[in-house]
Amino acid sequence: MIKKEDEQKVAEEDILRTLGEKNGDASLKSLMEEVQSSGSAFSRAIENIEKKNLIRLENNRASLTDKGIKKADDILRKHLVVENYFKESRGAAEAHSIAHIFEHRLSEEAIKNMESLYNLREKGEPLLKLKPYEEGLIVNIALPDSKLFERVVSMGIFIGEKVTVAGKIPGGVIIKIKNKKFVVDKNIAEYIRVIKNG
Amino acid sequence: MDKIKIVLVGQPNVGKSSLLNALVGPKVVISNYPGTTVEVTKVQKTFDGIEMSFLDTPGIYSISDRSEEEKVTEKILFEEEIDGVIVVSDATALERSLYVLLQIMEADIPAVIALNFVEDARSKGIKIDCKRLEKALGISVIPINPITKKGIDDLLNSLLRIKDKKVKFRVEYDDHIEEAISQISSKLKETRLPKRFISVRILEGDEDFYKYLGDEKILDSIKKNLSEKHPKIDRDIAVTRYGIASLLAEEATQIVHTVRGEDIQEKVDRLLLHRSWGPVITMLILVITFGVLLYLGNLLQSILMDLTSNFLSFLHITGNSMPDIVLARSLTGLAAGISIALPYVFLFYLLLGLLEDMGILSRFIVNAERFFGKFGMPGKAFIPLALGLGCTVPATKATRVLSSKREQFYVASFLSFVPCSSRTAIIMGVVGFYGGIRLAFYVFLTLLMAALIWAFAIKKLYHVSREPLLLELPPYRKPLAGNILAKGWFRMKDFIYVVIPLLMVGGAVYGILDAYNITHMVVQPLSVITSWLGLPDVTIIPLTFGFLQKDLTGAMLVSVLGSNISSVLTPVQIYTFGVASAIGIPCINAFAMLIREFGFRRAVSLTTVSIGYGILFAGLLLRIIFIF
Ligand SMILES: Nc1nc2c(ncn2[C@@H]2O[C@H](COP(=O)(O)OP(=O)(O)OP(=O)(O)O)[C@@H](O)[C@H]2O)c(=O)[nH]1
Ligand SMILES: [Mg+2]
Repeated sequence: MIKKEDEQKVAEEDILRTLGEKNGDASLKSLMEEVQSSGSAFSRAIENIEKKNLIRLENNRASLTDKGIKKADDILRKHLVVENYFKESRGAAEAHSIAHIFEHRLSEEAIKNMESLYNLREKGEPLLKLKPYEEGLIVNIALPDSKLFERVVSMGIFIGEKVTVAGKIPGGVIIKIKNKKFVVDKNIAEYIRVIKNG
Repeated sequence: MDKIKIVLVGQPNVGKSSLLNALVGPKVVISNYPGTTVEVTKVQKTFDGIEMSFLDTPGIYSISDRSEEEKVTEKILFEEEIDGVIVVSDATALERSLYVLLQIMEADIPAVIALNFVEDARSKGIKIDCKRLEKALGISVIPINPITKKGIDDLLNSLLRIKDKKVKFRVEYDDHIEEAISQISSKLKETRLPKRFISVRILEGDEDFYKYLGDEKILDSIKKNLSEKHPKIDRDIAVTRYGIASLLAEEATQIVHTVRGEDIQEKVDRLLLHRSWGPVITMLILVITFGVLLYLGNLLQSILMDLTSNFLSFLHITGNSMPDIVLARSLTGLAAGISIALPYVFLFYLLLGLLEDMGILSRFIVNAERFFGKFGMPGKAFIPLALGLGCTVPATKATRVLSSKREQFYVASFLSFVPCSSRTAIIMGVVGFYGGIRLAFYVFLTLLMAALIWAFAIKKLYHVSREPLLLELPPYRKPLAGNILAKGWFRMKDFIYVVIPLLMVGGAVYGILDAYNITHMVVQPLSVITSWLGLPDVTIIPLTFGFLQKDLTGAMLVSVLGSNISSVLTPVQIYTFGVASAIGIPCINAFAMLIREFGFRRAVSLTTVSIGYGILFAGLLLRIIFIF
């Protein structure tokens, strides 16, 4: 999913984060192994962040400057948010890898949303609890059947979306997400967790 | 000559069929609800000396093996030789369209995006940066409007070069999944499809792809290794893919302004989806629709009857010689078809088209669910059943929107009680015309009763596990007269090309049988049925012909009893005749469609059971009526 032109940016952020994790100092060799980018992208990335005064290079080792430490903290924080976000449902190691994939692409706002979503997911209540025309935020979709889960997700019913109940029927609810309306069975709605807005 | 084969793919109701019609001229039915297209239509056309074929497919949100329609699309994409795909996308909900696109790109199939509903998006304050999306994905993104034909030429131009396109973008999963992918890849047999793609499908649990694995045990051990970090790998894959789709969409989407307050769509929905107003308004609309149908149908029927009988007497065929008899009989058949059936068929499809395209019909599903749910009937059954009021054949096909074969068969069995236009023509044109409108109304009521009893009986005997309801409601739209007429014609075409000739042949056959006096040979052995129904023996002729084609029933009844039916049959007999001929599989085409959908054995058993049930029911009712 990572585009060519992004590769260098990703490498830069990875280097900074890794350095941050290693208390600000590491050998280039170990960094290169850890960061897993192509050699050319790696050396260009190193060159670039040195130019930006984020790291110092000495004896084939890199260390973070003060400016670099701040930047690395920031990246690490993003990483942790994403990682935390996926940790519960996906296990620690995997959440770590997902964080690798997403962190570079998420906007500051998306990260913020994730952070608050993560903190909220425990508080979620079943979608069925919303009254008609009440609005909520989807914080968790805990459907046990994976195929059904994929169907729900691919229809655009996803964590982090705002949802409004547009009506109820005996067998389920009618919901609205981003201008789209759906009829959702109660057996599905039960697993969609939301928190009320406001 | 160069050939290019292109598949149109996209979520339901996104405008694939509209785009097909815009590319090659009106060919397929377009309606404003998801699940209009249930089978693949292939259309060829030559552009710039290149023979292009386009395949319209049923809409899908994702390529997984859930419902019948999805399997159809999946098959085309992965088992046929195709050159490329147009992913018809919704500018107002881009991430959903990108989800399917990502799945297709994983299979290394070259794709272009046809971005639809650009104007709708703009009015909602959403702007899509096509250039940015193009750059991110490495494929062409072309804004289109199938109604105004905007962007169609650009789309065609980019399709001409699609063969040379290489898929560059690729979804990357986390390290553990990637490792599993490469482990599976190394064990796969050689195929046309990319190994990475097959591996992902296998990890997602798509059993159709297990066949590429030499040894299924490998999968178990790989999954076991993963189980600690990915206890549910299939959903992790889905989440990653959707996450990437929404990131891509977010990057390319610009919110220019946000719309404040409720629009008209919301206001209408507040009424139509309301707990008590919804059902009331639905009933009201249905009653008005049927009132209009019956009133105008009756009016047209009398006008056409006058015209055709004038025409027949103008021809002045004596009916003395054999050829004369055959000619006279087949012309009577033709006249009956034109005057009795045509008006109802024609009007029904215009009214149905109107309700479909405005988006009202799909709100009926919601209200029907409140009612149907009690009988164990899924709300999704509403559309096939409504289509069944037109013709049982496409309605049987439309049952594919249901999630399982079992559910599909269950719903199809109810089409025995939904009077198609040919059966409505008998009820209105024979029962109503000769016995009075009240009697016709009783027949409709009786059908409803028969269906309810059937529902209860079947609920006891045949366990249908209900798939959970998950359905998108389309927006309300301004209906387009051109589209309503066009699809009215597609749906009526068969009636004109198949039914009317059949009526003529049927008439002629009866003429010959009658002239040689062999009808009694058919009539005699079956008199058990007619006496059970309390009808004159000869009425078995129209009933039997009715098994072949319901429209023959009316025409044949006139043939065997003369045109003054009310003096030969009592009102009760007219009523029983109406009920007996209205329940069951209405024609040989519907029977063939049942075979196609459910196999010979199920088709035969449903047909015999439903026809038997109809006759039994009509006879029993008769006895009950006589008790009082
Ligand atoms: N306003 C507007 N309506 C459109 C446009 N394109 C399609 N529609 C409408 O969208 C509805 C769905 O169109 P179809 O072509 O039947 O959609 P489909 O993708 O074939 O749907 P399925 O066969 O159910 O998967 C119809 O009511 C069309 O008239 C468009 O560009 N603008
Ligand atoms: Mg279609």
